[in-house]
Amino acid sequence: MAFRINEHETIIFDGAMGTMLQKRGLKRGGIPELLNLTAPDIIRSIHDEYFDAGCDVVSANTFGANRYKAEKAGRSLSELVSSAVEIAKKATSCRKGKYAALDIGPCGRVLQPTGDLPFEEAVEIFSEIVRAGAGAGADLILLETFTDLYELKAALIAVKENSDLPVLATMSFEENGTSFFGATVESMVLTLQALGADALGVNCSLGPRQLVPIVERLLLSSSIPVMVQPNAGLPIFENGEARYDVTTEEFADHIKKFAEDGALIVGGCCGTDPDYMRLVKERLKGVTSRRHRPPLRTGVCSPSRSVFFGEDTLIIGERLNPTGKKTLQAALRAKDMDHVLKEAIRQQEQGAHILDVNMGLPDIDEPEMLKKAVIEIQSVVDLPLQLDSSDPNALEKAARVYNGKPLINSVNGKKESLEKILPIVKKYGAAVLGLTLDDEGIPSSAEGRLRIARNIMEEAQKTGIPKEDVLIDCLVMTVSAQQEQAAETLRAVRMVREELGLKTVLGVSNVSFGLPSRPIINRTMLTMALMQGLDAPIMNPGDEGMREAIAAFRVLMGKDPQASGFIAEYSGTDEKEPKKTETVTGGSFSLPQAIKGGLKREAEKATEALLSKMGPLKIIEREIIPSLDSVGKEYESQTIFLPQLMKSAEAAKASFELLRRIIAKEGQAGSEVRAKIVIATVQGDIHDIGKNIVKVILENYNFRMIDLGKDVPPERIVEAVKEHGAEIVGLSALMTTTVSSMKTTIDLLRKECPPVKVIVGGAVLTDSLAKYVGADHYAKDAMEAVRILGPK
Amino acid sequence: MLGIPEEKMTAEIQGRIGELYRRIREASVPRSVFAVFDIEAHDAEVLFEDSFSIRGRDLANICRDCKKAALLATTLGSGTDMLLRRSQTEDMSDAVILDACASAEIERVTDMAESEIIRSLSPEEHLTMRFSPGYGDVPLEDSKKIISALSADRRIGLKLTGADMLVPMKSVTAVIGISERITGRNKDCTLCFMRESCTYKKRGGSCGIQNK
Repeated sequence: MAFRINEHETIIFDGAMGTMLQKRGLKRGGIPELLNLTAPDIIRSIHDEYFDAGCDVVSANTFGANRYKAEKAGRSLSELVSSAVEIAKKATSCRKGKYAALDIGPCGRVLQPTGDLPFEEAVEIFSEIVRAGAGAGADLILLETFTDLYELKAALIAVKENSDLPVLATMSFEENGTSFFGATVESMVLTLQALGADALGVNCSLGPRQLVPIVERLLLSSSIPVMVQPNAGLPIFENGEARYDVTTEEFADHIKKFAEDGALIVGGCCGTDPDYMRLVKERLKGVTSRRHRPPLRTGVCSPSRSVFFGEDTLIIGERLNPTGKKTLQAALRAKDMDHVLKEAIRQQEQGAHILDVNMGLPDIDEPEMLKKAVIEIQSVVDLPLQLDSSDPNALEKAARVYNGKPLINSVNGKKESLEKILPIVKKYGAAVLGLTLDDEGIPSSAEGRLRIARNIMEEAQKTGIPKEDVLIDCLVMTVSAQQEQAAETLRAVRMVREELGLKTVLGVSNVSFGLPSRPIINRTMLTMALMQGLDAPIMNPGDEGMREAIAAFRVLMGKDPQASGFIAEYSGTDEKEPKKTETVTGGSFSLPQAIKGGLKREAEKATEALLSKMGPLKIIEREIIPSLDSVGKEYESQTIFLPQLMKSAEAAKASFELLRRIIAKEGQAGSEVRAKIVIATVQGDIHDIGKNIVKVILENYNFRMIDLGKDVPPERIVEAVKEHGAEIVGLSALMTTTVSSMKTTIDLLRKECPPVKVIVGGAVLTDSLAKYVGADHYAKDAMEAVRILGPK
Repeated sequence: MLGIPEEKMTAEIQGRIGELYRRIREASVPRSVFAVFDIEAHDAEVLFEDSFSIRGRDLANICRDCKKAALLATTLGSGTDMLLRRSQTEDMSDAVILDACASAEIERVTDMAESEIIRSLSPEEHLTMRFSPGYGDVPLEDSKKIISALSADRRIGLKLTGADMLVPMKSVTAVIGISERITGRNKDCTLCFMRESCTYKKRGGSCGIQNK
C-alpha cells in the first residue's frame, strides 16, 4: 500500500540514526552512509529496533549522501543511496503498514548569492539523490534539517521533477523562530505549501520544550499537515561528546501535546533512540487532534518577510520598470545592476511592501535579465517580489530562481496566456495576478471583467492553484479618453471582491494620463479604489500625494490604531519647509569643496549650477577629476584615510550620476569614456569589497566599469572582455588560495585576448605575486590603479 | 581601526564608526561552538582523537607540549552578510567602515568564546595562541574538519564554499592548544598571510589582534 497521510491517525517516524551509529562505535568524522555498504546489518538492526518500538516510518541512512560525500567516500552516489533504501525496504517487507523514507539533508554548500553554489547545480545535486532513492523503491521522501529556504526549494523542485512520491519537508529553527539563514516559519509555510509539499514542519535544532512556540506558529499558519521531530533536548557537551537533557517521559509528553494540538507526523531527531519512540507510541494511543486547519491566506514572501493581502493596504512599488525611464534603460543595456539595486532599496525605504520587477526592453535578453535582477535584488532587499513580464519564458526563469513565494504578473483571460502561465505558477509555487482582458479585449462593463476574473480563477483551480493564490487587476483606463470607464473599474473591484472573494491589485496612475495636475486625479482615484476594497495599489511609493491618501484612509477605516502611524509621519508637517533634505548649512559649496568634504547633496547642487556654464564632459575633466586627484594625494600621503576617500568618491559619484542622466538624455552615449574595464573578484573568492572600492574610484575617473561580481570563472571574464571590447581587466583576490585562480584567469586572457592589460590587487598580493600570476601591473590600492592607468 | 593612526582619527569618523558599529550589532546574531579534544602533536600536523588531523608545522610546534586542544567556530550570522552587501550598493564609504566594524565584532565574539573555553579549564591549564586555517601553514581546507568535528554547520549555521571560504563571511574557525605551561599568545606577524602587504607592519607596528 502506498504511503498516505491520514487526517485521523498520527504517523510516527523514527528517532535519530546518528546517535544510534555512535552507540555502535561510529567515530566522529566518519562517513555514516558508507556503512550501508560495509555494515548493512548494523543499519538494518537500527531500523528493526525502531519498527519494533512502534514507529510507522523509518528514514533510510541517506541523510548526508550527496555527490561530495560520495567522492570523499570513494563510492558512487547511487550505490550509497540505493543500498540504504534497499536495507530500509527489507525492514518494511516483513511487517505490515510500515514505510521507508528516502532521507535528504542539506548538501553542505551555500547557494549564491550568499555562497558560491548556483541554484541549478543545487537542483542537480538533489536530483541525483532523488533518482537513486526513488529507483531503489523508497515509499516517500523526507527533506529535513534545512536552514536555507532557498536550498530547500531547490531540493523540492528536484523531488517534483524526478519522482511522484509524497514529500515531507522540515527546517531547523532557532528559538526566535527564524533559521540560521533568516527564514521565518511563515515564509517557510507559504513557500512549501505553494510548491506542493505534502507536509511541512520543524526538526532538530532544539528540544521539544523550546519548540512549543514554533510548533504553535506552524499549526496556526499551515493549511497542510504539520510534522515535528525534536531533539532529545539541548545538547550538553562533555569531553566533546553530546548528551541531551530531556528524558523519555518528558519527550513523550511533549509529543502527545503536539499531536493533540494538531501535529499529524511526529518523530525524533538528535539524541533520541527507540526507547524515546516506544514511549511516544504508548502515549499516542487514543490521541486525536483538536485542530481545525486554518484556511489558506493570500500571501507572498521572501525568506524573511511574508506579506498577506487583505489585512491592510499593501504598496507594490512600480519603479523597477524601464518603460519611459531612459537612465534605467541605459543601465540595463550596459548590464549595470547597481541602478536597479539602488532603486529597489529606495522603494523599500519609501514604504513599499512588494516590488514589481520588469526588465522588458526590446533589445535585451529579457529572460536572463529578469532572472539576474531577481537574484541580485534578493541579495540586498528582503521584500517579496512581483515578477512582471509578458514573456512566459522570462517569468519561468525568474520564478524558478526566486527565493520564497513570488507574485507573477501576469496572466489574462486569453486561452494562450492561461495555458502558458498557470503551469509556471503551479510548478514554482507562486501567486498570480490575473488581468481582466481576453481575446476580445477589455470588456467595457464591470460584469464583463468579473466574468473574465471568474474564468481565470476557475482555470487556475483546474491547474491545481488554490483561489487564494489568484489576485485580480481590474485594469484602470485613461479617464481623459474613456471617462465612464473609471467608475466601471471601481465597480469591478468591488464585484471581484464580493462575488469571487479574490484579492485585488490595481495600477492606478494611468487614470490621469492626458490631464493637468495628474496627482490630484491619481490620489483621488486611489482613495476611491481603496473604498471599493482594493488590497494593493501598484504605485510609485515615493509619490507623496498617494502616500498621504493611504495614510488618511488607514486612519479613517480604523486600520491605523490611535492614528499612531499617521501621527508619527505627519505631525509637525504644517510648518515644515517644502522638503526634508540633508542640508546642514545655508552656504553653497563649489563642486571641488563638496567632493573634498564628501557632501553628496551639495555635490549635486554644485553640479547643477555648473551645468549652466559648461557641458557634462567639461565638468568631469575640469572639476571632478582634479578634485579627486587632490583627495587621492591626501590619501596617499596619509593625511586622510579610506573612509574619507570613499566619502569623497561617493560625492563625486553623485555628481557623475547626474551628469550621466543628462548625457543619456542628450544621447551622447558613453562613447566619451576613457576606457572600458572589466573588473571581477576571481573564481573561488567571495570577498569583493576591495573590488567594489576600486570600481567606485575608477568610475569617477570616467572609466566605464563592467563589474562581473565575485567568484567569477575565467571563461566569463574572457567572454565579457570580448563582448564589451574592454581594454583593461582588473582582478581581485583576497586569499592565498585564490591567487592561483587569478593565474588561471590571466593565462586564459593571454590566450584569448592578447592585447588586454591586466591589473591585479587584493589583500595578499605583492609585486612578486603579481609577476608570478602574469599580471601587467599590481595596484596596492584604488589610487594606485588610477596612477597606473595614467593621468588624464 | 581602519588603518587610521590614533592621532589622525577625526571626531566625525569616530562618530560614524560608533553609529555603524551599532548597525552591525543589530544585524548580527553571534553564535559560537567549541569542544575540547585529546590531541597528539606530530611533525607537521596535530592528530585529534585518532580520527582526523589538522595540518601545519607552525601549529604542531605550538601544540608540542599539549595533550589537549580546543576547536572553536564562531559567526555573526547571515544577516551581517546581507547588511554588508546592501551597504556596498548604497554607499561605499559606509561600506568600508561597516566591513571593518564587522571584522572587529567577530574578533570580539571569538575572544568571548575563548574566555568561555578558559573558564572551562582547570587552573593548571593554559591556552596557546589561537590558530586559524589560512594562518601560518595550516591549509584553508582544514576548516572543513573543524566544522565537521563541531557539527558547526548544524549548530551555528557555518558552512564552506567550494574554495573553502567561510559562509557567513564574518566567521572564524580556530584551533587552540591547551598546555600546562604558559606560552606566548601574541599573534606572530611572520606567520600571518598578510605579512607581505600589511600596512600596520610597514608602519612598524602590528594590527594588535591578540596583542592584549
